[in-house]
Amino acid sequence: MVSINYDNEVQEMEAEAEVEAEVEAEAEVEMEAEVEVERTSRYKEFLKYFFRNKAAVIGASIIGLLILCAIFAPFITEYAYDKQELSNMLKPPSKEHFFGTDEFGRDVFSRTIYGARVSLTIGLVAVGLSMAFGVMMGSLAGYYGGVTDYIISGITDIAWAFPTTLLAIAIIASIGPGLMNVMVAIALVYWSGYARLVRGSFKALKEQEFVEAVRALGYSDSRIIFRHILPNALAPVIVLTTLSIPRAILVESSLSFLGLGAQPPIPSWGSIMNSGRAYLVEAPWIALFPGIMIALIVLGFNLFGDALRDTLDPRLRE
Amino acid sequence: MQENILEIKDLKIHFPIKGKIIPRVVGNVKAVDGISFSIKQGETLGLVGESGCGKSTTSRGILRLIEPKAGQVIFEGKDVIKSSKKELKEIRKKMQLVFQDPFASLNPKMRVGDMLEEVLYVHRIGNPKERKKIAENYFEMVGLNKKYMTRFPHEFSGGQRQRIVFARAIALNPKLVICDEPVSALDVSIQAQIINLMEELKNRLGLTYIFIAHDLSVVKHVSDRIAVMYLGKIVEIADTEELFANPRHPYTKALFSAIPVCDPENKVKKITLEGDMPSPLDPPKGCRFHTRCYKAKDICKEKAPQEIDLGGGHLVSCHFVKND
Repeated sequence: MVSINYDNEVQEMEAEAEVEAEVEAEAEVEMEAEVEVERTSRYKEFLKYFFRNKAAVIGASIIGLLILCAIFAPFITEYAYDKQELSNMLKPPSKEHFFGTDEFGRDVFSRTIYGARVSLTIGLVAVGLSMAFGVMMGSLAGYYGGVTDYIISGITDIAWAFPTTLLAIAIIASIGPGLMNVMVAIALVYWSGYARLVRGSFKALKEQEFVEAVRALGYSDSRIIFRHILPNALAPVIVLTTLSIPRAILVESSLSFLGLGAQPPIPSWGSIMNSGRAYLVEAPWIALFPGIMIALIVLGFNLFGDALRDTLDPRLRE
Repeated sequence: MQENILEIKDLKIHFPIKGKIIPRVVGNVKAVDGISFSIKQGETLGLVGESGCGKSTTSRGILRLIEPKAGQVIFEGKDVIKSSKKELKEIRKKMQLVFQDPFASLNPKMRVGDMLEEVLYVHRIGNPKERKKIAENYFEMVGLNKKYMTRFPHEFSGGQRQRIVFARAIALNPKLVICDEPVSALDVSIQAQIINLMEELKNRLGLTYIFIAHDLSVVKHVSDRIAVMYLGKIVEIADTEELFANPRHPYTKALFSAIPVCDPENKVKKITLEGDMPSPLDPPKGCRFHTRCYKAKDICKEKAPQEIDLGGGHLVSCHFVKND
């Protein structure tokens, strides 16, 4: 019947393999010259790779600077944010008032710096809450599937169906105005985006062989979810977060404009811009400077987020 | 005679097909439809067959990565299918799976050393220091330098990755390793290295292998016994030498005649099968192979053949094999 000459083939293969092994060994000697990374310094290594990225440095500086402004607002500003000086209203930027004054003669610079407090808190806390909740829901739906998925996806689809601001207004109408409630409302509006995103990634990653492999090794579900699937599903979450923070700041400004968010005279970037809207022609600086701040924070988080995503993926390092 | 380490009895794995709008079962893909075999301690069983015949599904069914529909998988006297979650974890410690694609079977975000230590941690073996030692030990056993344990999977070649996969599989000191086409994604020269590694590990650790492959020459080299699968059923099973010397099932004959022969004088007529494998959603009645079999007669369309024991563990399912 059939005869195959396997032994000869194997000998040939082995000979080839030896040659390859030598070549590999040479390459390995070269690799040894590379910096040996100790396990204990992984955190340092992460920072090293992170800050090697110029965008990361710029992004982190912008965010850091704005956070410092928010914290040290009383030391930076010369005027109180609510001090009215009616003789000095709608003055353009000058030595006394860097960013000019608004319709009540209040210093726009002071208001903008203080506004960072409200806007940054809202942006970070609201998005943090929605991310935590959304990622959790999305993970459960994507990993377990079936009835769990059906119920969670149903709820996310309902949440997704409402216009963002309208839903936030409805939530605040039921729980009352105030900054804390604004954060809750924004979180309740945005979590569904995370849930959908993470669910999709989980559904795809769950079928990958490396997940099947660790299931075969007897790992628990929570270990598989948190240590093996989630780190691989994080990149789009980071991108969504860098986009969501500025959006949350803008939603807060709309809510403040409607009197549902920051209560006057407490300034937030959104509310300053909204009050400046009426004077765009006579005094454009009122709306301009908080607008620049929002643009800066968007830029900062985008740069920071992109760099973070790249550093978290070992394949994209170097 | 050694004892059977694993016994599979009438294992069936079906995938239900659900309706798009109303989620009710409208059909079943019968990926594995009633297979039985057993493996002795220290043996290597080859499982061959063309793509889609249910080889990989069988391997996942044995480990219960896919819940089988019916049948028994008896591993060291315990039925895997009936065991609880806790028992299953213990069983999975002793039964390991190595996948085909070493590029897909390692978490890209994890250092390879961590993977090895993690598997020990999950099964509560040793303290952190000991675990590091054990991991290094296995890392070197598969022929890799422990210096590279802090690297990520993408920094290794295919062959090296497959070594890492083996290191992780043997780290728990398993009895049985199911290798799902462990070498088909590798270059030929690397294939030989990995096969040698497998044999070395087998001798050193007393492993038993189920070796799934479609490269017959590799299977012949590695296996003590070979089972031939077609469309969710085992059509023939025998010792390697016996099977290659004396294949009885028409499908086995066709498979073997497809092996290229390094001899221009050898003018064996090839048996060419026509058509494709029928869909496992609606397998043909009677003998499953009758739609492509060159020997098929009317009886094949009506009656499924019984398994005939030709002696010496040579079993074959065909109407035209007479026991003599």
